[in-house]
Amino acid sequence: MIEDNKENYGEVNSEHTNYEDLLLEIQKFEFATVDLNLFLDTHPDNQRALNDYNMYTVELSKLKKEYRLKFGPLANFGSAPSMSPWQWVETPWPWEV
Amino acid sequence: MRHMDDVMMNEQQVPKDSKLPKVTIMDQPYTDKFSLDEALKKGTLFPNLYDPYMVSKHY
Repeated sequence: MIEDNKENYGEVNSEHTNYEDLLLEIQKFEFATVDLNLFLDTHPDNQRALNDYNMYTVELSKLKKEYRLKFGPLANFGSAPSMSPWQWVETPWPWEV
Repeated sequence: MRHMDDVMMNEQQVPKDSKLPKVTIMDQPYTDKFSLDEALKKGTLFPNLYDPYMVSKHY
């Protein structure tokens, strides 16, 4: 279904206890923000697109923070400090997800 | 690599009334959006860009 024009950014659940659910939610928001990134590159003055981009980005940041707190770093380097021992190797490999 | 001169017709080969090619594209209006769930499956956030070769049964 196509969303109406109101500021509606989908079903944002505050709690995603499941690893796969949270990762999928992050993927949805990353996809939406990169698509808006591409639109805004050629329409930098479009305020509605910019508002949507900003809303999705705020939600994406929240989701990534939630992920980090529950499951560790999202990327192998540069995204968050690591607790000891090195956390990255504790998370599943991409092919294990 | 082939040089540009090798692939271009020389002036004698080109008909006299020929014109340079021009590309025109429509500006994409910002209208509605797919839900994020649907956008990820369809590969675009924008319904006005969704134009698959074949409509899938799944989405």
